[in-house]
Amino acid sequence: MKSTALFLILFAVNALLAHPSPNTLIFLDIKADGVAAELRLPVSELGTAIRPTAPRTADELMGSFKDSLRLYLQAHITPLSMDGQKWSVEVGDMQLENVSNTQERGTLQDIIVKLWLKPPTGANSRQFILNYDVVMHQVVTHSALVSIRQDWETGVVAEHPAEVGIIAVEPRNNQIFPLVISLESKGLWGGFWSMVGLGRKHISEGTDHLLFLLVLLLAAPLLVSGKKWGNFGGTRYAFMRLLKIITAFTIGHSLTLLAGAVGWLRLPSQPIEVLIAFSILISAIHAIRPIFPNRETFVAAGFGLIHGLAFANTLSDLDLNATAMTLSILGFNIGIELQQLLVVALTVPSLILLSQQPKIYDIVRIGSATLAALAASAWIIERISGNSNFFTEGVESLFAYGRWLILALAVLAFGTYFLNKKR
Amino acid sequence: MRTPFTKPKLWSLGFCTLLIMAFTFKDAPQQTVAAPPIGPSTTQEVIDAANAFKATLSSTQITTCFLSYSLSDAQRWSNFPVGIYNNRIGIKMSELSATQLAAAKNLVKAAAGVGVEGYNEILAIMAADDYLGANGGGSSYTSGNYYIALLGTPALTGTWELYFGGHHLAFANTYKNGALVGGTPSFRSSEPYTEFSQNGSTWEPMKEERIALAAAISGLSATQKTSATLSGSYSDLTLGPQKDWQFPTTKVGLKCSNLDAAQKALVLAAIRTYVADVDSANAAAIMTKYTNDIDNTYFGFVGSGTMVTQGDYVRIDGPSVWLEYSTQGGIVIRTYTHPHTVWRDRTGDYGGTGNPSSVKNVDASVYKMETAPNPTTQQTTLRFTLPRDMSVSIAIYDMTGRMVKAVSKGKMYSGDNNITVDLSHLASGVYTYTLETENGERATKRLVKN
Repeated sequence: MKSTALFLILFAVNALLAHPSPNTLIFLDIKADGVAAELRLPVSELGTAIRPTAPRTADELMGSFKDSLRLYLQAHITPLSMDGQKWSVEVGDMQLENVSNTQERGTLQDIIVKLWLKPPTGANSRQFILNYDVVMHQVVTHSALVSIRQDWETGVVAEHPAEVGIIAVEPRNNQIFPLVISLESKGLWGGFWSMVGLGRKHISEGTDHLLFLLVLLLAAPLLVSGKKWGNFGGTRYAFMRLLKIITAFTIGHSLTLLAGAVGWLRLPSQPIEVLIAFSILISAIHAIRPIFPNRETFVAAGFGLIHGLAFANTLSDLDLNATAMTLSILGFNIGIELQQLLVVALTVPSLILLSQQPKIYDIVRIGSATLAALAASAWIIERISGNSNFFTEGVESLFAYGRWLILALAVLAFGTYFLNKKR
Repeated sequence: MRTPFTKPKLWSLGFCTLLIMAFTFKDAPQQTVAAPPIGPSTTQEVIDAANAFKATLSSTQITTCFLSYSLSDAQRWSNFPVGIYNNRIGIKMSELSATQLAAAKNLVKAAAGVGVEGYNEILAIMAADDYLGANGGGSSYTSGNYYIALLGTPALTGTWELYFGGHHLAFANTYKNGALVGGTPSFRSSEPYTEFSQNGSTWEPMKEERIALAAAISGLSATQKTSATLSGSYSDLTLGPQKDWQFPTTKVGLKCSNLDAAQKALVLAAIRTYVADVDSANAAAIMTKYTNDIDNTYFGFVGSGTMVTQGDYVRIDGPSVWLEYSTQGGIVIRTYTHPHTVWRDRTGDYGGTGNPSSVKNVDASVYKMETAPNPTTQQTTLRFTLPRDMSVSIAIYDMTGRMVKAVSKGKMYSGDNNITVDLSHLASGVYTYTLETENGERATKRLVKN
């Protein structure tokens, strides 16, 4: 898992690259009782729209004209139910943000506005007609790109917003068409399944959780001999140790996922992300030389608690009601479990076979643990400094080939095993 | 997709020959009807230059550069540097050897005009990109990031296009049966707009366009200026890249029949700064057409009229010609503004390929379109049924064909859909409720407002 902050930075850059002219970006978070919207309005265009002859500046818009800006936005945003009923529009927090980007764009200033769009009582928050002409009622070349950033029922979450349409003046007839937002209702089950999918995706795309688990499993089949890792401890020994470690990790992260998601425990995400990277470093060192022999179970449970807190942040950000939250915790955890089991089922046979050939296994174990330790160190630096570095980017792109790495491991394990048998 | 190769049977060869003959004869009469206004000698020069360029390329380069003709490829141009828009077609100038580059430039030169316009303007615009690259823009700019491609086979028969463009330049010269049938869309810009030194020379691309347009504006009387002033503000072009075939149904600004001869000449002089970007023989023919159209051409503008102040905008919209010039802030050289400008032709863009003038009208019953109540005084519910999920746009038009209400646009689900609209602001009368689908079908139903 990259840190949330990194995701946001990456997303913002992507959005800019994809939509380089100063457009408005609209993000919609679909909730059960309404829609939370975030507008990112480029100051240059907004200022011109409000006063074409001498465009209003950011200082004016955020200062003495802040209240009239609220009224302006309310006058130009009118969501309607399909049956023509008006929704209410509440203009919340407004902030100025400098989008400093690169040679290609120069520097832009955006005003970020939070809105709460509320349907009349009893009306559906998933289907409405967005009448919107902010800026473009005057600046006819302006357009607004609308995305669903969060929708629990269909499993859309912040990391992967779904673009739903563009609102702009149609050159042909000089009219602005309202945008229909019409999201499929999938209900509670839909939400549950989307959370199972999200949990699976979290592990399959979360390089660091996966790396932690794999590094922890590396030494599990081996016996401790003095201060070094010794020989293969037998299939039964290996299997039981693997089972204990995985179970302990699962119990650990389930506990904090529950506590964090329902709000009993809330910690800022940056130290958690640093601790996760630290957990990989510790287990990588342990895989090279035993530093907590025969206490792997407790360590796995302890680090499980930390990883669970990171999972919890994903859910608590969704801001769900009690029923949806319960289903989410359940679904998300099941998804995480399914994906972990899949990875374990794919790698454990290879590990058990390979660990019976000490020479080859030493190379694989020490080599991959060293790489993991390096990656973990790079992550620690990245997560403390907030800047991605060359090494972490490399690890991310390497793990894009994760399934091939697992396959290569299996080919190596089975290949050498049968070659040895033949001899 | 490749299909497994099997030995062709004799009868299939015969059948193919028949097909080819049928198409050849089918095309033959059209060739004589569409007699090129310009002798094919100009076109032959471009063909020869294209073949000479092809002869310098390796077979891999030919595969990249010589493509089959398609509108979707022709539309892949932009006003952004490659760092933002990396979807251009053909081969990059930076990937050509000195000999290949010379041959490519020779081809562009054969198709482009002479004097300060055409080829020299292209060199100036490319120099501006080198200037941006060297002055803070980075490698995403520079003249090496210009692309050349040929869509279709350069020949005196059939349809093909010479594609050339980069950050601030794009043209699409389309040839059909030996004649240039479209020199548009043609995008020309420069950052900065002022004079600059680069590659050992000084340049000022787009100077003639800017001065000619400013002169056309300052030639207007005060009252003419008022009626030529457009409503709204423009921070860019309305019909920039990927905005093909979206010409407004209603022209805005001042109709040029209200201008005196000198004022008309100023407007035509401004138009000529764009038309002269194609070879002189074709440019003369196109100018004759635009000159004949001048009384039905509209001139509109917004802003200071100098064409250097941010927000300055001009539009010239005729039966055929479409010109836009929009001034925006500097991106790399932030001390000066820079323009985006485009020349299009209402029928000639891409040689007419993709002109959607014929939307397919279908019966309202196809989409089970109903309204209730009808007649109505305030609200009415528009009903329709879709066979599958699709994008639709729904609007209400009056009997003159003017859109009076844009109802909605977006993806709708298959099955029954209802949208309630408020019509209280409309005058009493008969209207049409119109549904347009993503597959180019239009269905209408009558609606009465009491």
